[in-house]
Amino acid sequence: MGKKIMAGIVCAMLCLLTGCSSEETEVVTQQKNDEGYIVTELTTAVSDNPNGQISEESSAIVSEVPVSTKNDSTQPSNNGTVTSSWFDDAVFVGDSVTLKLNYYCDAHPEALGNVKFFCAGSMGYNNTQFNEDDEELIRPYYKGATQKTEECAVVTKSTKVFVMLGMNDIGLYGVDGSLESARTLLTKIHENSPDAVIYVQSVTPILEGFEGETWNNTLIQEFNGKLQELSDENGYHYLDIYSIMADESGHLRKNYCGDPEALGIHFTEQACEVWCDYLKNHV
Amino acid sequence: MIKKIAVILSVAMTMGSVLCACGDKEENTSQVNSAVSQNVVQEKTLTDVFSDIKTQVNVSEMVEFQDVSSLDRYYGITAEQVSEFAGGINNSGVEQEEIVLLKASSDADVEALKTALENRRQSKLNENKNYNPEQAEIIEKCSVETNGLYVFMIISPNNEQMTQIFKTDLNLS
Repeated sequence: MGKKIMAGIVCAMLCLLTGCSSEETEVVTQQKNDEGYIVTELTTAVSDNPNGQISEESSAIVSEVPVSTKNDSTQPSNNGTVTSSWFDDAVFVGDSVTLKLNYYCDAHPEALGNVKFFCAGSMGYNNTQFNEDDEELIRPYYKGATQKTEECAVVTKSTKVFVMLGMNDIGLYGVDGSLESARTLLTKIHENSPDAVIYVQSVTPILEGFEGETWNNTLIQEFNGKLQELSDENGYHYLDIYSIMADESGHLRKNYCGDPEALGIHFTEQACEVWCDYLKNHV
Repeated sequence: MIKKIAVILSVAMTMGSVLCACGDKEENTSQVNSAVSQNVVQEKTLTDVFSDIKTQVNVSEMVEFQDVSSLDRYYGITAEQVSEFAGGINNSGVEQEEIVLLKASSDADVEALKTALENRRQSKLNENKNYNPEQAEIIEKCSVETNGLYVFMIISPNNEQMTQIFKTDLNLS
């Protein structure tokens, strides 16, 4: 009897001593089983020595949830939309309007996933194709260096290219001059990355009161119409962003304009949200 | 019987001592920490400095660097090159205010960080010089600076005030 009491006390002591110095860490792992279900497993690793070596493990299945058997980034959801991860292998080429989308997506990773941006303020279809020694050449800045716009898909390892340029072209080169440059640049992008799918986004509207004689919503809509024809001829996917940003008079909606005191063309956070939703429903 | 009771009591006392030792260890450690903190002035982190800048100067709405992948996307700077970072970029796409505060991992990384920020500054200048001269002027007045392991670029109309806060907070000359 006495020996049993002693053994019990010694065991209790050992347990207490172990409790003083051991550390528990939990590791969650997920694996897909043969039936296409994700099995989440919680593993508790116990370290009870000063070197942190794991000496004991216990594990338990926590939950099971069904998953699609296909890659999420290529699979539309049941309601015809795509999820944000669909844009993980997409690059957006654009000017300062798209730069705003870049910063919006940085602050809202749920918007377009791990999308890449190839942008530069004031960039247009024309000035991004100027000669190397031209001081007015504008190229996108990506990962610490300026890059050739036509290499957007190669540099970012993307298979989907979204282009929105033209706002900085129409006033300087007119509708037809801008369109010819668009044709050349889009061809170069295609030649550099023949397997990439190209989405051509329309130029977006100007806020009421900010239009000029050579730079206005009438010319933008004329350009967009020709851009759509160009896209149809060449197998590019045309996306009408103009219509979702315009009010009934064809101007940029006031609540979508982020610079009503300056140029009247840049977007608010709300407009970016609408833009992302449109893309998810129309790509 | 008396011997058994004596043994049990002896074991119980040992247990008590062990338990007390567990408790004392933390107490002793906190006493040491307290003594150290009285003698050493806590150095400010770059996050503290950026916070001071935002508190003391009017900073525009920014998308702030949440993790090192932001530095990679914008500047091509990797996690291995920096031991600390803070800052952000004006989120309008038009205004050019941009605050980048870096601490290099080693002396060997300083030059590469400086080059990355200078490339960024030059790119912003090119984009704005013919399109937004007012913003181009702000960029032109600012520069990339280094001080020891610190590399920083403050593009802002309040550049001088922000630079002063940066240097004061970090006891830099």
